[in-house]
Amino acid sequence: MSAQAASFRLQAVLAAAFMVAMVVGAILLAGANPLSVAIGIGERALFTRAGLLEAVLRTIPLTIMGLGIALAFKARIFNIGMDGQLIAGSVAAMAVAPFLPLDALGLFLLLASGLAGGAIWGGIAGIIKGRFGGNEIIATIMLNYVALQVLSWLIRGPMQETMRIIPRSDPLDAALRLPILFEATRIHLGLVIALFAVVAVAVLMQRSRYGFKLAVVGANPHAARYAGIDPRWIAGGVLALSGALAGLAGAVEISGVYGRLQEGFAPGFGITAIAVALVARLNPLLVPVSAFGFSLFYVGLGALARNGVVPFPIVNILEGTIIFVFLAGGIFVAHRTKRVQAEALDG
Amino acid sequence: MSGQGSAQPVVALEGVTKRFGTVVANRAIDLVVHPGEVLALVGENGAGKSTIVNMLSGLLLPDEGRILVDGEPVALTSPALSVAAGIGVVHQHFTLVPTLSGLDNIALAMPELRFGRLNRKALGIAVDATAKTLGLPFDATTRVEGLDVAQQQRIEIIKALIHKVRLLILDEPTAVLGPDDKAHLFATIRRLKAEGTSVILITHKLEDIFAVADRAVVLRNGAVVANAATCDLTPDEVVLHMVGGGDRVQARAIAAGEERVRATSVARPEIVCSITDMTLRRTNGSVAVSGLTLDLHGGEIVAVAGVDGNGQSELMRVIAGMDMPDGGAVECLGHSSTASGWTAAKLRRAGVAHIPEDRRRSGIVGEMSLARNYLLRHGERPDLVRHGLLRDGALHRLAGERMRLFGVRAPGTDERIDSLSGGNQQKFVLARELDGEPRLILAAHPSRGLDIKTIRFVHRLLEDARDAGKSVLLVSSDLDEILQLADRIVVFAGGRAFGPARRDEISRDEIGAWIAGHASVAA
Repeated sequence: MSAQAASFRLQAVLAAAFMVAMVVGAILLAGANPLSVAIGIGERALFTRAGLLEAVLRTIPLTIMGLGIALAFKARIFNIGMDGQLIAGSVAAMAVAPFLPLDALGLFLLLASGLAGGAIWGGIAGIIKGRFGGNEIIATIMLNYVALQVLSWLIRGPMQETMRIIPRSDPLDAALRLPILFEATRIHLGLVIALFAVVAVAVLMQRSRYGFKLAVVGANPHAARYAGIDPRWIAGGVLALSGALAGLAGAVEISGVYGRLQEGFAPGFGITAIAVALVARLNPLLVPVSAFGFSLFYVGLGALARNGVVPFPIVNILEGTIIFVFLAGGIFVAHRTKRVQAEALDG
Repeated sequence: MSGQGSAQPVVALEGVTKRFGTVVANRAIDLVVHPGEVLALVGENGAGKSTIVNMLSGLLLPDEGRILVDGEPVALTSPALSVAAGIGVVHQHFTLVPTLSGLDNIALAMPELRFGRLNRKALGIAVDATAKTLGLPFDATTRVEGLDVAQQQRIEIIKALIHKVRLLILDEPTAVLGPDDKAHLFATIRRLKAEGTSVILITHKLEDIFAVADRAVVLRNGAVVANAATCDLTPDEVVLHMVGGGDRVQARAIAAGEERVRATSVARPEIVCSITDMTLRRTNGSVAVSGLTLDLHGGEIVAVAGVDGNGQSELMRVIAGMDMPDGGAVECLGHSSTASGWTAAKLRRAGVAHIPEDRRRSGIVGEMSLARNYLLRHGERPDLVRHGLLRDGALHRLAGERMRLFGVRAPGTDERIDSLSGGNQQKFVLARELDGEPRLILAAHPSRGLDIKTIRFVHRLLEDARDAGKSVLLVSSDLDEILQLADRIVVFAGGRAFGPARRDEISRDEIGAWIAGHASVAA
């Protein structure tokens, strides 16, 4: 048993080392010095005011979405459809915007519509999973494409700006924009919303009966059925819930940053949110930390890529590597503690 | 029985003992298989049959004792060595690749495959020849997933026999077969026997034993309790050996039964659960029991006896609300299976407690703390959950209190439940399930795998619950346990239900006859 654990650990370390070597190799091939790339990322992200603020701005949606992933993954439901749910949320918010009162209530309703839109999009996958037993991974991925194409049609058709030049919607009324928190920055009220979401999800996951049910379904579906918890209801519900958070993130991005609907406004956030949640070990209190870490990294590397130091795909390669190294490290630690415990029991 | 006696046994086990932790799976087993002999290895689930198979097929090594092949001690340290020793095994759960053809599946088992030297054409001819001599026509070209179980089994048998096999072990081969396929299988076994191949037939069906076996070896609790030629045995004797019943135990059971007469007299007529003409099917679709009609009253223990796999598990799952009956109806504590809402959650709320037969799989969540596991049954209680939020302080206090009351030994309620021993886990499940005044207690094999002290504790709890006016439905494969605890007894056998009969109006022999599938004791 212990020999098996050891070989597993060795594999994890080897795989991680291999990945790191590949990335260093890729950077070298791109004609840059890996060390200066690393320093460059740190410099831009950590030691410039613009870089730091940019990272905070990006942390907001990644935190909200990372929380949604953590919830779903806790019940072993793999929601890969956050990109689609985010689009659904932002479309819903923009669609109701013209009918909202131009005050704080209107802003609140705008965000609530985003929440509802995401919940519906996630809920469709939830029905496919819970009612018909479909695979949630396939369902959510496919719904991503549907959402993407619907968005593409909307901003060239019914929701296009009045000028009909660029494929984007008319801007939101200023009263429906999230207020800026600090002058001369782009940091908006979404930061508070994100922190509020952290607390709410932490309470839900760690202190509530619903969170307990999620954990039971995730850890042992047989025990869930035995205890009278229907895993199908949980699966459907948690997909809607995690979709709602993605939808909220979409509405927050629209209202806080862009002010209008357009294509590609949150590129790949849904996938990054998975990385955020995994690195945070599905702990909601660590999600903002992990989200901020990923944001710093993106901002730093994004700047280097824009300056032509490395090509842009390196960003994605590095992201994959980080997740991989982290998960490998997790295996390493888990097996180590298990061995220590086993030895303690033997002794 | 042909060629028995002086002939050298093909395979022999001498004093073989195998332990898993503190559980003794096989205890000083002595077993011989003669050339051309068909040996039935009989016993309940957990009696130690599979452990013997696994040792003979090179998956496990004995802790004590030795295995002899042709009188020479051997160490079967790998399946390949077992095959080389001439032992072939057809496992209960087939090991076929569903997307490959029968022939390709057989090819996978050939050692030549590894070196890329496999001649498929030659193999095809060899397979055809084997199939013909065995009288086992089979489809070599269709993908396995498109074949029925009988066809798949034939492929497994041919896969085993394509090597030079002198002892073929068939693990529960008839469990999945219909009458025709079963007859065909028996014909094949007789043919093998005629060619001098020995067969070990593992089964817990009596008809199989008497249909083909020369000799039967009965295992109980890991030890051989009977070893006799089938012509010297009756089905009832085999059953009594399987479910137990030494004189000492019998005396104790009778004594306990007399004590019971006083206790039963306080039984109340209140009906807690009413089962009408119920049919239950196994997961593979075959009928496990049909026409079951039974009322469960407050203040009594009703026990379901019988060989495992005759519908007992299905009955428990249905009454617990986890499954629907496949026919008929059941009404419990104000809920009915014919109305909507026959769910585990509702029945639990109405007062059904469930001690599941496999606590590790479904009774607990191993990676959670004891306190959280306590919540599995009590998630609705207002003192533990308010406004959907857990009250951890109260939960830990209550769980700790109940654990002390039931003698669950654990460092604290924060401890993960899988760090506890099996006995302590079972006590924990009892502490949890018996909390909150349940009105119906479903107890499936509540003492399986426990030590004697804990078994006595579990029995006392169930008796106390009965005396407190609760209804208890007990499923057990241990006849002694049933005779000791039950007020009324039902037996599931051969697709039907016998009884119910009052404990004081039925003898052990009558129950034995029922378990064997007869309506009355054979003369």
